[in-house]
Amino acid sequence: MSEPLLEVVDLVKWFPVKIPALQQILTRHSPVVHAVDGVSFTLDRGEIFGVVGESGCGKTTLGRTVLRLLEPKSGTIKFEGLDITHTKEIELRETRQRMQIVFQDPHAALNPAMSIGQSIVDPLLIHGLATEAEAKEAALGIMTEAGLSPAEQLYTKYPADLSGGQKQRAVIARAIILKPKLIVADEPVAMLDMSIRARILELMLELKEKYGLTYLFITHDLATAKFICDRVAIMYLGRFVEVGDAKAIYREPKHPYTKALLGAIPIPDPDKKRFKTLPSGEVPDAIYPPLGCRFHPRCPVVTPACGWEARDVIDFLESRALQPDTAVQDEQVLGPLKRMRAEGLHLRIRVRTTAPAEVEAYLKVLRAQMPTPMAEAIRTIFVDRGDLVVEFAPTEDPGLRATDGRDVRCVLY
Amino acid sequence: MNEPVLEARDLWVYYHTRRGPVKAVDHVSFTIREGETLGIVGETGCGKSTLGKAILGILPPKTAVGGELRFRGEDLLAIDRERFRRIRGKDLALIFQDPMTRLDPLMTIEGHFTETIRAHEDVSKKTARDRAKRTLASMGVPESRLGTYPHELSGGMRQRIMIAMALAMNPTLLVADEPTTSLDVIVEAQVLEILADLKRAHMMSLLLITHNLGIVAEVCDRVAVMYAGQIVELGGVHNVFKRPIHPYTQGLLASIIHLDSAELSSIDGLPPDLVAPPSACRFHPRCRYAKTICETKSPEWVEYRPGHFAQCHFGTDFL
Repeated sequence: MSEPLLEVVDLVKWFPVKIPALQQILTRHSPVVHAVDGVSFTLDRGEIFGVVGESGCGKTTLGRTVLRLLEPKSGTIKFEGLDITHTKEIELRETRQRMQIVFQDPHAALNPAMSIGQSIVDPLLIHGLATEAEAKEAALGIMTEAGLSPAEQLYTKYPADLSGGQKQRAVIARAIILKPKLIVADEPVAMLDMSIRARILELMLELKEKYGLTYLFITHDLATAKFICDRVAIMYLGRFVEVGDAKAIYREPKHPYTKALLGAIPIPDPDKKRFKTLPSGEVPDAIYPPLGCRFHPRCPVVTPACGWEARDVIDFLESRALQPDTAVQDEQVLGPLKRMRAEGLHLRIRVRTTAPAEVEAYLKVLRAQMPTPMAEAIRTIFVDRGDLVVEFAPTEDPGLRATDGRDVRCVLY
Repeated sequence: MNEPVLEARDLWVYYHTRRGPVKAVDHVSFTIREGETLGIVGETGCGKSTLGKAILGILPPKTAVGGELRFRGEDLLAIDRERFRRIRGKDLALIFQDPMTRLDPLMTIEGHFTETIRAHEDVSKKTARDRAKRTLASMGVPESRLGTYPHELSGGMRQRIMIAMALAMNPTLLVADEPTTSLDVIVEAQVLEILADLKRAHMMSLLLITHNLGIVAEVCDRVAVMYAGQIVELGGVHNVFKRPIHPYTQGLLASIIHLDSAELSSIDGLPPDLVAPPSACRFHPRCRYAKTICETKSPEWVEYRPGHFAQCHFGTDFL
């Protein structure tokens, strides 16, 4: 086999967060959103590689950074063996012909002031690859292939005259008119009605065969990915948590997050109503991703080695605050939650008013009521300059490790 | 069987446009019984959201509405605005798809609660606040969230708050229009679980409007399938999913891409223009079983099995 079409190594893309100027001076480092945080993969020619994850996991950012629509912070992107990570925009232009994108929202991806024909021929004209007459002929051919027929008639129509499915066909036609090698398809069917999704996916498969395309298929829908992808990567908070052969992963998901995602999909069969074990809470803030395994605060099979930290104790106390009796007791001894400070592995509780010994004793009782893995992850509880400190044992991100035909980022494997 | 809470008879809603009336809801009939969950499914533009708005009396001005819509015996189309205001938000509650646009960005969560509760009941702010606290706690939202503004909360949290607000008044019927569409699968499942628990606890009826058939299968007791402004099939979820009668329902079910899908399938053609809908059976231009009669004569609403209705000339062929 020849070299891979696309090789991405340790790609990182952070977005700065706007904070007030004064705060920026006071805090030494400015906060960033860890959108893509060390992602590596290769795409072989003719492959469909799915990146699956919930909103905010960084999958769209990943797709755009790979195409250099966004500038990476670090890492390398090799396309057709050529390192394009830092290539100047003007030099990149020629390569751009062979890497295209299909966007999620076909209603927004077409210029409303351009006819469908104008939108589709535009790439050819921009790259100076054809005269207007040639471009039109090419466009009509591609439109017919993309299921936009009668092409002659639709050529002069405007996006507003088309249905959602037709618009997406036009977006696809525009992406393939340059005969690209790589197409990043960012949720290409998510905005479409159920009854036409299958047609668009079939079209994408046909075009892939015909033009030898390679897809980076970005989706939040595991079922769609299962249908179309050869390999999939499950992404969570900027990182891949499970990558491998799609069949193997769907047959037997390993990472607890993959399992949770698969289990949460509603099944359109009233006989298969089932009891779901859902992970608690929601995806945490990507500005301050959890330590260790980023899924640990929600994981149903979490262990003491998964990256417990001070914030987890605050979450635990917050859940206790839902019950009136424990809420009052906690606040009496520990003071309000607002005044506790979570500093990485250290939870600091100011104990001026009550005797530290009493608080310490209370924490020990609390510890017995914590989920066992959290309690076991606590290294010590000590007093430091008027603060009572709960310290957790440090842990590392488990890293992607090969197991059973795929790579999994979990301490259990 | 339980009492009907809501009864629609030949309900129609036509929007006024320059091109002529858009027949968004065209003579639909159904009932929702006490404690029942009825799903309304259909694709973009089939009129399902318009139906929800008609029930809540929040259609845009100049919209023509007719037929009969009885809520606990009272015709909602005949009552005045003042009376409707008293019912809506109290006995007849609603939740929308996108909670961000439905919450006032300048008002704290507590403000939203006290406003809603005090609009309907003459209680003190403290009583309202206590009620808000209890409702939120029952769905796992800490009290500390009462002081926050909508933008400080995640999508799932906002939707939980919307549900809590809707339920704070102990409504008889909750109309939920795509309540989980803007949420991710895991949070969606969490929200649906909360909704199911609360419904059971309060013996509330639920009208769930959605395009997601998976959710209908998991949550609903009965389901109505809408196409081009009409209900084409209605029945218990088991019958409709396992033994669909109308070709549109069949096509819709086959087109779902789910984890066990063996092959891809879709419905050819485009959804119709509701200003000038196709003659007779509106699905005939896209129906693979269509014959001449489907273009010339509107099919009857027939009960093919107990409680399982459909509107198709060839319904018996699909039994």
